[in-house]
Amino acid sequence: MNSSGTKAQAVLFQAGKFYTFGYPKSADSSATGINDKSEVVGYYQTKTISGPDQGFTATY
Amino acid sequence: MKTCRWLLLFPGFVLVFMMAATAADAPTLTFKFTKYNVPGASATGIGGINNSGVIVGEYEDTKSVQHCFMLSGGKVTTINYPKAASDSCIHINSKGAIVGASKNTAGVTKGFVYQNGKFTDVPGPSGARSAVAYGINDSGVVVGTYTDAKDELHGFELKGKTYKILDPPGSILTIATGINNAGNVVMFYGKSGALESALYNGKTYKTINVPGAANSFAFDINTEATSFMRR
Repeated sequence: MNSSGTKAQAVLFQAGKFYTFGYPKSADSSATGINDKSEVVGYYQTKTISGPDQGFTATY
Repeated sequence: MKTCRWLLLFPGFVLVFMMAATAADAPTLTFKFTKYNVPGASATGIGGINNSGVIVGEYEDTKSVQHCFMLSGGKVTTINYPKAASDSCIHINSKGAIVGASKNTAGVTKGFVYQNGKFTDVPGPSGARSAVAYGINDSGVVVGTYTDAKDELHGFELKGKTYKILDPPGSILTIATGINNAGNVVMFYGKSGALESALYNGKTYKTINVPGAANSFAFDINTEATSFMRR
């Protein structure tokens, strides 16, 4: 959750479809990187409004 | 490092374009998550991962200074641009070339490529006041953003020593964030009070906004998929 109160969600776009996801129980999640091995990386926040940011990797 | 760290290199524009998202149904995939924080850091953000699983990002130390890091084989390496006040690593290609940005003590941001222990500056096209390198493919083509003399943001592609400016039609600011090995570039841009995303194939721009999102931020592209943040 950012200071404006809107929630960020990570999204993967593949084969014409959008898949929304997020780190479990996170307030905000963003997917910033992806490789060709079905791995994505990003960061999330566990609290509303204020961080701290924490990193994640995810496979799909 | 509260939200969207890479954007904080240009702090004015993020706040201007924050808008509420509306819910949208979407198909699901199963994701298996692993949390990672740099030991001792107060905050960690991961920017990129290459096909060998090497990760780059940034962390905030106990003095609230941001540093680049690389995680390879379980070992964390801090990468500091010489004499920088802070720096960020954003992406890494399969040859180990890392792109990112450093900020000097005057607050000026400059992009870089880091490979084999050596930094190469990415200052942006002639006349640029600041720049960030966001993405790099395995051919070494770099994409990013720069501010011009009017402090307006434009996307760029850097091939060799030649810059190509990337601005989708009607955009009032552009940040090019990722490029794959086919040369397809993803970016997000400001238009009509919202942030939209586009895919550029070298000739044309195709809009790829997340359905139902007030703002769509395309961050990276691989051979067949694109990663986003939506708000």
